[in-house]
Amino acid sequence: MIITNYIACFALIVLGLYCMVVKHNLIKIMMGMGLVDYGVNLLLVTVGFNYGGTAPIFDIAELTRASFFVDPIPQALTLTSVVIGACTTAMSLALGIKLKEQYGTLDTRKIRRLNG
Amino acid sequence: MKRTYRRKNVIVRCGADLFLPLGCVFGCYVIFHGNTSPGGGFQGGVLVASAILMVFLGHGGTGVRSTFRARLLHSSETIAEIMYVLIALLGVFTGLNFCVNFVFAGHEWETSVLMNDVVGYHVMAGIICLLIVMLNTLDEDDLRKDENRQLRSESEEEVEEE
Amino acid sequence: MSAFIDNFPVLAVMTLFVGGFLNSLVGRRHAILQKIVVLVTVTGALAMVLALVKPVLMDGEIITYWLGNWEPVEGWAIGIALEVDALSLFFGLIVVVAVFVSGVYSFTYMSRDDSLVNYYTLFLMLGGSVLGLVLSGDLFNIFVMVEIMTFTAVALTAFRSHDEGALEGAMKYLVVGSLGSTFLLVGIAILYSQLHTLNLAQIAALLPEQSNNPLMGVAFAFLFIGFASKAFLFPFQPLAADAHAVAPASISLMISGVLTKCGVYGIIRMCYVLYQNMDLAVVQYLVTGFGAATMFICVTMAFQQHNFKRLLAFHSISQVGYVITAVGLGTALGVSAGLYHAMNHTIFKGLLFLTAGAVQHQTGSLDLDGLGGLSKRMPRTTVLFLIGAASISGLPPFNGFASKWMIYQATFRQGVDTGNFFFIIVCVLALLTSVLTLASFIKVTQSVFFGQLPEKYKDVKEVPLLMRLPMWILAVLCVVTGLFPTQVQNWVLLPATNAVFSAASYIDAAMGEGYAALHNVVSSGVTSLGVSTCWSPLSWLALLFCVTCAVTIVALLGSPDSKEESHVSAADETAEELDPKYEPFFSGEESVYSQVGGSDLFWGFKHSWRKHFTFWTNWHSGVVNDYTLYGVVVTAFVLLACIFVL
Repeated sequence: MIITNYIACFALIVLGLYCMVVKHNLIKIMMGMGLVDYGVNLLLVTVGFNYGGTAPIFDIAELTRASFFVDPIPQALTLTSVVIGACTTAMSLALGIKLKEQYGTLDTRKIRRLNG
Repeated sequence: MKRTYRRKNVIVRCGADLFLPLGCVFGCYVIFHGNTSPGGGFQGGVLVASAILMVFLGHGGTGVRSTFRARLLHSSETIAEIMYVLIALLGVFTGLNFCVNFVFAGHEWETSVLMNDVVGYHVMAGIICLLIVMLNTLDEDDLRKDENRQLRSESEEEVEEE
Repeated sequence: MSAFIDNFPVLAVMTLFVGGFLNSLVGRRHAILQKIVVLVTVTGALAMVLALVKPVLMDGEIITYWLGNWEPVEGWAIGIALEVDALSLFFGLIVVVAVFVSGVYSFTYMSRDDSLVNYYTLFLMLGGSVLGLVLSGDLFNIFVMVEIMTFTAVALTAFRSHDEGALEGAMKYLVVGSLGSTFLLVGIAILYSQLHTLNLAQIAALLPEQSNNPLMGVAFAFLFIGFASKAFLFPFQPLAADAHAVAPASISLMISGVLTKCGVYGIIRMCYVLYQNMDLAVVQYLVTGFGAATMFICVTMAFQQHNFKRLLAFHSISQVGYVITAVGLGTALGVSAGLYHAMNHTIFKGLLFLTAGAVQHQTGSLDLDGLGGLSKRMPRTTVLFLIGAASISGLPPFNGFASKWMIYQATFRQGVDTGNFFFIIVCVLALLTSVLTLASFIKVTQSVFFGQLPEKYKDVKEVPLLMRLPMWILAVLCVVTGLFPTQVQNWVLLPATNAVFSAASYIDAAMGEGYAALHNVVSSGVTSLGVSTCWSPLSWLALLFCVTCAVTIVALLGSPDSKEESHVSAADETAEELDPKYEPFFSGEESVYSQVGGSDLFWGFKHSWRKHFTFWTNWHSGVVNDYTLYGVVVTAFVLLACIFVL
């Protein structure tokens, strides 16, 4: 059932946003960012899914008008998006380590020297 | 500087030595067949880069440091990036567009295969670099723990190294 | 086969990227080699984009470049395209000029920092990604470039990680910026699910047929919020302030002059070319409303800052608000005013950030309350700053005057033509914002460059020539684009505005002749901007001069009387009246040190508007959760508006 996929990615995005808005721990915010990323990745894969389609790997000779396969472009997009998500996580963790060293805490309510 | 560290268990060491070449070969296989099968440069590169974890498991941080040179890997990552652009530029030099498949166009050997390989090389070097940086932060704690353990029980097998 | 010049867009992007890689390869050991690589790279990119001016901007060609020669098959774009029309080239020119100036400035400005290899590599990648974004013809490419842009900008923001707040600013930028990028990706996914293509031209052709598909409205909302977060529009402006205040000045120039332009470019491209729905009143209200809110809120925030660069950052976003306001009007005059102001914004805001960087470089401080009297020690920088400040405040004959004049004209005429009161209010708000901008720049000038010189800055020197040179380039551009507005309009703005309004030729250039007509996309383009002719910067300058003279003469003539009056009244009343605390403008505690601090000027004004100011100060709480919440709430609002009204 493809509809469950859409429900799942909506739930993932909403959960991630909830995490980012409500949780004050920086690590949990990073987890929220990750959740939103996974939700979007799932959305991308679901968008390109054709029920009953095969893997989109063909030689030029095998490819006919009748061949039915899932859309490969969203999969490529998902791959890129996964890599970007990994970069986000790595970068935010690196910043988090340095922030912990400088501020001595990961509580966002205390990391607010730049305000007003 | 004298440094003591505990040698790993023999089973772990032998296992790591055994699976290290297998992992490397499988990663290279994925890179080189990226154009005809699922996977490709990125996935294969990550697989090859996981070799460093084998080395770390089997031989610890000292093993990693004596095997890999981070500076060289960093340079080779950059070289791979430049090579990618150069291969893509070959299309412009031959009067076609950027990124064009001009080598035996239509056959299995294309420019995209070369690009795939270069991407694999780049990802491998990049991720090994990353892992070295991350393991270096781990390693000090590891050493300290080992030293504590050494203080507690002198009976374990220990090796002194320069 | 296509002409060789068609390769220039991709080569310009690749030059910047390869320069970054080469720099990290060879620049580690040789500082000289590193500078040579950077200089050659930025000059090369500048030259290549300038070479495109002749065919694209003057002859009106649209260069379509399919990577790997993957041309469209049976009306479906299967490859990745670079498509350069006059609009793309306009923003491309802004980008390369800013990258060039910032690169040259960095040579001296960053000379005291270490690990410069990382700095230059990231810097060149930032430039390359932004250039790639504006020249790209593929929606997913735009997303990837946005991500590269965000990461490099975050890393460069945190570059001086020993400075207070650098990591914090970078962290906030990363968290909320990645939220914006994610919304962008969601919008792209929804568009792809309905149209099955990622090529901008083909989307532009297929979208109008789907106008009653509700998912298109959802995609519009997500894409709009994604680009708005990159332009730091209303709920996202705290990020820009945090990032600007702590980043090196050369990077502040990039963030304000280049990154925000990506968002502006995205919004223009999306509303005018992809959706072609700017004739709908709802979209006009949405875009103009966001712009007006941004420009007013940011200027109120800027008014009460104590950090030089943070103040400039809020002003920067306020000016972006002007751009978006003008762009949202949907008329040729509005778009050309927006584009003009976008160009001018990069020039004068870059100049101001560079002067702030010069002050920081020489004194090590950015605190408005602590600095003062630097005009005696840094006269050239002071002159440059005054040019920038006059430009941003819209004084003739500098460029800010010309573009702001066009914006007032565009908003007012839109209000008169449609009989809609909303646009009149926006026009008044724009005027008010300009006044507040002028006021707060008087404050900065007074507290940094004039007044008394503190003891510890007695031996401050003028900045070296290599740092003044980029500033002079920008200052000259400020004056030139301000003195010759008609030429700028005819040669630059008209082709770019024409490109905004001719979606059909954009589609035909990429997908083959007749594709737009096949999908019933018709667009006429514009032949004239409809600017009123009765405005010349020089005559306005003459008027300003006359008014100033008149005011001065009246003030001089009236002064003896007023002095006498004040003496009489002072004699009559209590000594409290003489206390400077209660004077209307120059109030505050009297002290030995006579410098007027940043907080003391306009004390009375701030006091009478304290509710407004306090509310917005509290709003910028500095907690990253709050900023995320604002983003999510505004996204939900735009989403609802787009679903139910579009």
